[in-house]
Amino acid sequence: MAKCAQTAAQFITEAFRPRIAVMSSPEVEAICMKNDLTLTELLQPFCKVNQDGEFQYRDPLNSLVTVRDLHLALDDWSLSAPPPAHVARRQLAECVAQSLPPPTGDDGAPAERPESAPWFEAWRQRLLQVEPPGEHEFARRYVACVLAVSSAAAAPLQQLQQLAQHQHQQQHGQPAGGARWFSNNVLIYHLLVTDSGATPVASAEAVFEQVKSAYGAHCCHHLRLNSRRPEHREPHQPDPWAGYVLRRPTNLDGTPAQLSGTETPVEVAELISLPSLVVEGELSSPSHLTTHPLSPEAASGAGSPLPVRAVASAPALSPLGPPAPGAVPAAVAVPAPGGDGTVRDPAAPEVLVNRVSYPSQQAGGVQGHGMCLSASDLDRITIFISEMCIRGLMPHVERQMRALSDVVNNRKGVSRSLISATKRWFGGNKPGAAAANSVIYSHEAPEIQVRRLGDLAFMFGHYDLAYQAYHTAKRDFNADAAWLHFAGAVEMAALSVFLHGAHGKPFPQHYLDQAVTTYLDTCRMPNYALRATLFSTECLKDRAQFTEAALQFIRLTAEDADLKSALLLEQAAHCFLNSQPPALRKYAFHMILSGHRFSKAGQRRHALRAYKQAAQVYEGHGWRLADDHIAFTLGRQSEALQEHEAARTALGSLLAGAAAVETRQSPAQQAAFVREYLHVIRQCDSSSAPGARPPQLPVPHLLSQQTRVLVSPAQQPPADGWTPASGASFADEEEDNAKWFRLEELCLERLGQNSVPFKPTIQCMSDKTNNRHQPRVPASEPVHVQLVLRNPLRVPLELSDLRLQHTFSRTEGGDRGPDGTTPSVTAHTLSRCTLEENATQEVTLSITAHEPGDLTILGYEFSLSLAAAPADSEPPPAGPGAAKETPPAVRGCQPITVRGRRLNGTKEERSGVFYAEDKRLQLRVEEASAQLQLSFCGLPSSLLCGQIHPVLVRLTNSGRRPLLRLMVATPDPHLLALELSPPPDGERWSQVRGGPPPAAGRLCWAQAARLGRVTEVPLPEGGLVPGGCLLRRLWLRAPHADGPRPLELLVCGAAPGPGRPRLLRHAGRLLVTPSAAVSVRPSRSVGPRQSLHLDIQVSGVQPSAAPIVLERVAVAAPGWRLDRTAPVDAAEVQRGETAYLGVVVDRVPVRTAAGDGSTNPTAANDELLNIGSIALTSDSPSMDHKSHQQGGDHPQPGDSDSGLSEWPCVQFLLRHKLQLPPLLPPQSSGPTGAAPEPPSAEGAALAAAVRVDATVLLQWRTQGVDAAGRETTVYGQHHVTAELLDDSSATYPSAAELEPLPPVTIIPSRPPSPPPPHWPGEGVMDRLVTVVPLHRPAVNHNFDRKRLCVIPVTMLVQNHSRCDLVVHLSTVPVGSSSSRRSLPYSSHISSDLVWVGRTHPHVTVAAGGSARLPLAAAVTRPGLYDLGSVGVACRRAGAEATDLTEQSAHTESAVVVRRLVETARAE
Amino acid sequence: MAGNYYFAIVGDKDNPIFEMEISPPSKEAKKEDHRHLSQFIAHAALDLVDEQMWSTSAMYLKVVDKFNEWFVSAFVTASRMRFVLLHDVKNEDGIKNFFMEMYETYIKHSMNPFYENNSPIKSSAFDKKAQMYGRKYLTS
Repeated sequence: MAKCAQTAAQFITEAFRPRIAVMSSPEVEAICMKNDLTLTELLQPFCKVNQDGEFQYRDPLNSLVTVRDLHLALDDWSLSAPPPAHVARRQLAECVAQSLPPPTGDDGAPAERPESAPWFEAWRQRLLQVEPPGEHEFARRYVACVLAVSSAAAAPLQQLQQLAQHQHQQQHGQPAGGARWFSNNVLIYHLLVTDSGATPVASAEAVFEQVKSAYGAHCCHHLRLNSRRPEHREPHQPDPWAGYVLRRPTNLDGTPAQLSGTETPVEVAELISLPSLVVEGELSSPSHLTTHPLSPEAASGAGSPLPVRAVASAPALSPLGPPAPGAVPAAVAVPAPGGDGTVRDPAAPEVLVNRVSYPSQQAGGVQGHGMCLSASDLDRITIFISEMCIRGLMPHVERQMRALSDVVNNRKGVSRSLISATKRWFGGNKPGAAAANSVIYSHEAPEIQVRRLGDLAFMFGHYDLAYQAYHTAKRDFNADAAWLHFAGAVEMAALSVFLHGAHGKPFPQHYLDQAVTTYLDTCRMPNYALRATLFSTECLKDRAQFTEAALQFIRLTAEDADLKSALLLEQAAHCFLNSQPPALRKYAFHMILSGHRFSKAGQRRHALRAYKQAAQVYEGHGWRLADDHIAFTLGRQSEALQEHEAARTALGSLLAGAAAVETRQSPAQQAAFVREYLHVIRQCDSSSAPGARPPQLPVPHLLSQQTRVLVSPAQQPPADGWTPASGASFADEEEDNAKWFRLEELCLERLGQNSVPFKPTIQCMSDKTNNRHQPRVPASEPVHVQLVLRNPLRVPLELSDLRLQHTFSRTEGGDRGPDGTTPSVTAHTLSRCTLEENATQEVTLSITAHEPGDLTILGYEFSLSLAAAPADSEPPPAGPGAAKETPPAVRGCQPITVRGRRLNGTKEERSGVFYAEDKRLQLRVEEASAQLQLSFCGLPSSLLCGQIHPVLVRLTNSGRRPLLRLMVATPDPHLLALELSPPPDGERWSQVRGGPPPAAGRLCWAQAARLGRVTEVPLPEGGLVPGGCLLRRLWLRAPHADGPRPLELLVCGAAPGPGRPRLLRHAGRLLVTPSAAVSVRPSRSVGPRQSLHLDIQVSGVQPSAAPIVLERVAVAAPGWRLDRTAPVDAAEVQRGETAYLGVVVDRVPVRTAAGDGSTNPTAANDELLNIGSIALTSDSPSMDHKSHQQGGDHPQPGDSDSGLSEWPCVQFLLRHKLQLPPLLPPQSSGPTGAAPEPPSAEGAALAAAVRVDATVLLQWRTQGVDAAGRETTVYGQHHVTAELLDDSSATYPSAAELEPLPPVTIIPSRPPSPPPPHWPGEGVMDRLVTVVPLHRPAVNHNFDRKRLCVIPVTMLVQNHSRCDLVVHLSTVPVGSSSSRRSLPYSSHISSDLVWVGRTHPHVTVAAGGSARLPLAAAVTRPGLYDLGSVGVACRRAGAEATDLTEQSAHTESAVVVRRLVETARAE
Repeated sequence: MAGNYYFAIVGDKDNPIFEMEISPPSKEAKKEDHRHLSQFIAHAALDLVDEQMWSTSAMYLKVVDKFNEWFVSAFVTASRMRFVLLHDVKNEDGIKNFFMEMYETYIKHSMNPFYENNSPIKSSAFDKKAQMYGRKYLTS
């Protein structure tokens, strides 16, 4: 609640107290100066006389009027003239600036509700003082004049005379001066001042007697001063003068006025350049800009030891030295003809100089005011004042009042000027009808006298009389349309009623409103309107009409007067706050407006205060633009006041707010914010200690929770063809982690270090990983931290010199670094990073600890600046000059705080909010360990399907410890194979077919089982020592399917000691392009041997025009051997072509060495494989040494084929057969039915009849282009496993095989669950046995000799199964003949074939064996006969005789029976 | 009836939950610098809105405040959400219609179970509706 110190009544009476001018001689001032006071100052504290009933006078009606609380205003005459407007303006500004609010805002504490506004009171006081008394009013004119001379002067009487003369001259001599006196005959009071210490009392008394006799005792007084002994001189407690001399700079805590930041010269210029204030043309002159503004007391006379009006003679008149107190009434010696106003202006700079030097000179000698005044001196002063009032003033007032009253009464109703009468008749009598005063009253006009009477009565407390007089005057002026006078009278009438108190009339508020309106609109005298408003609002406030008061204040604000408007708006705001109910939001708004005007007026502290108070209301409501405006202004003002911390807070919140909310400020505005903020930070930095931590900056936004930490050893940079392994990186997909963890687990299993449960090594920690355990990092290995930064602003920001902040505690007893001087931790610096507007960017920072210990990452620091505009950055920076152009950056930091995922385990955790501990930023640094480096040479980016490509791999241990064991794991062992032996020297590693032929061509599929995802690399004795290097060949074989394919590799090295093995991963990508599609279809061949035809179909689907040259075909199948005698051709496949190869494999007798494996289907894998191969071309340069194979037509059972080296083709062949469980268990197994039961052993044995399991290996070459763009020959191989008879298998599944999806059923029907087939189906059972008729192809028979021709046929019954079978032959065809295939010659086949002899034989055929059944067929005529048309059925040896299965395979075998003509006999 | 408008819905904690500026399409957008003034004026007018809402049973309070060239019209919903509209031209009927339509739109929006009462409205549909009604009743 902003209460003024004065009540409304006090304020009004103070404003209109009786004023007395003081004219003193230099000697008097000299006496007073001993007390560091002027005479006026000396007397002022005692002018408030409150002696009840003592001051009385009789009014014109002869009733006694008692004056209570008479307060005289003593004015130093020389200083009392109203200053020129611009000086007044500056004085007002000064007094506001110096009346500062309590320093609440400096420490950032919120400003409280305003309790008081002393600056406003000081301002309005000053305003009343500097305001010249108007033409139309007399209350503020001098009613008396005190002439003071010293008894020590040479001729006191003469001096008195001179002073009196001067006074007279002032009053009557010049037109301007007369306006300052109340009437023509003011009271002249004579004062003789005696220095008790210097002048003997007797002589002084003598002088006084002379004075008394000259002027009469009632208007003379003798004042003795300085009676205090020098040894007793102490400051008075309390200092009565303090309130009157207070505006000296020495009283402002030693703070010179200009340090309040109020008016820098620029602001002075700004302030006084406002239109209404330009009074004189000199305002822009340098003297006003360079000199300090006048202090207020220069005009008030309070601090006038100055040679103020010191005209040229002033030094001569001041015998007491530089302060020259006596110079004040210098006008005595030199009456300035131009009046004070003209003398003053040229003197102003002088005053300023003296003013500034004053405190240092004077404060040294005199510590306080009134040092020479004893208590009796003070009493004497009091007596003097009351004497003057009682004996001088009161009678004078009485006389005056009576005289005026007489005049008024006599002239009432008699006289008006002709003009006014005319006006009354013809003019309107409303204010506003006339523009201004058109009536000019003479000095002694009766209307004026009425007003004068009112003023006199008002000044001396006779409010009733005053009101009557004003009311009369009001009517007169209204009638005359003398609006200025009218307004003044109305105003004073209202005030009279107000002061008259409760028993008077109801307060006429409309009078005041009328006065203000008239002043403002009709007279256009805003200064009077302002004054009236001040009174009016006081009256309103007194009657709690705050809203009206506020509106009045607001009405008086003007665009051109910033200080005034600011103060009035602030008062209006306070009024809003005090209204019922408090209009808090209006208050805030008007405080903002006020603060704005304060800042325009250069009153920074007040502006700051106003904004702070308003900000309390706006805070936290989300009025974003308003908040931004307030924060920005607060920041600016604080910064201008050197309050950097406050400025930083304000601007920081501004930017943080911009970051938090979707901001709608324009980019330019935001750029301004940022620039200002950076500027403030710079200021803060320059003022703070150099080693201080950088401040925390609000932008950019750090998304702490998304921070990721990567613990991964640094890889060597790529050099001369060597590509380093990718290692773990931030780019890795989180989903892939499970794969890597599984590989790691496999490696650890092989190492025997697996722990249960398995805890994977998390290399990249993010908010999705489990971070409950501290990440461990070996010393000297970098840790990468990826920060996600968001720029919420619409301007690009530039960060530079980014670095991680950290703490490090060394482990006790740990290894020290190489020497104590190197720091334990190196935080690597990222030099530059630009954040685009509204963009999110990831920034990776690294840190390396060199010794064991605990490393905690706290945050990061950076230099923030605005990125240069694109236009600036376009020209390349040319040398250091361009670098300076970039906006300067400020150093700041931001902490990184992370928390784990929300816990949901226990009930407590579910009902509350708990987060797991997150230790991803707390690293445990361990002893330096082994460190793996992996690099590749010749790593391709794309391969053809099936292409085999060697890559040289270099494994280096760059750590400090040896590696004892080394594992290489891959999720895709079909894709790559690592050769365990070092590559032979001298041989070009790029040669695909390098490597010696394997010692034995017999391979076993079981070897494939030993292969797996993990391969241990044998290391030399002692492991891989630090710095050691291992060179190996890594073979890649592209899969058959085209498309992209990940190439992933995990190297796991076990170092000695308890630490976890070191891991290194490589994740690459391979693009596989199509080359050839191969399909194989096995079918039985008809013949005495059990053999298969493998129909190999090769289609060229390669994109290039180069043909695929088939080099070699090989077959690896258990139980089968390639018949190399069979002719094979077809060598090249062009794009779009298809070639067929046919190879024949023979059944190898089942060996007993495999034990009873013949009946064991799983044992098939254990069988030794015969790999036989046939070279298809002879021009392959790499096959020269195998040329002898081409000639070797002899099938050599068990012979190895040296055309196939173990590396890499057999390796991949083995890997082709490798069947691994999926690396990761399927995510959603679902309701998987029970795995189909394995068929019974007997069933499997039967199924073996159709089971081929032949793997065809097809090697090829073609022309390709390597990475360097050279044309080169690439080699590859396809392998296809033909599993079943008559069933084609392909490398390249055709698109047509896509099965249509079954219809979607909403309600799942009962899954058809056929009983698991214990028994092989029809497709197997009817192909168990083949029957081949063996007979002569042609029979010559002499039908003439014997009518019947009997053809012996031996039926070769072959049992293809692994089960003993009983085979029934039926010579009578039982099956439908339609199932037979019709041969081309079938139409010629005679049907007159009759089987003779055994027609339904049956025979038991051992597993895999064959039996011969001799049969016989008889024909009766020559012709073509089919001997294969026998029905074949079989059953298992132990099965029932009826359980026969008709066999589908029929062999047609034609025999030609020719008639043999016995020509010989005929001849 | 071309003029500039600033519309705000103010929640019961004096927090703006929706703000929009409506300018006639012909005029170029107002200067950025003065946008915060709209907020200041609207916020200050709340005092008068709160005062006047008890003096009438109508929801539409007509012009409650004036600052420089700006008039402030207000509308109070049954749940004491305050609609404040700054305008520099007189357009009583249009403003009333606009308020009524916005009231309905607001009610519909507030019935969305996912909308938390008194929280900022971030619905583009609401925004579009407001723009549409602004064009229809205010700037057209």
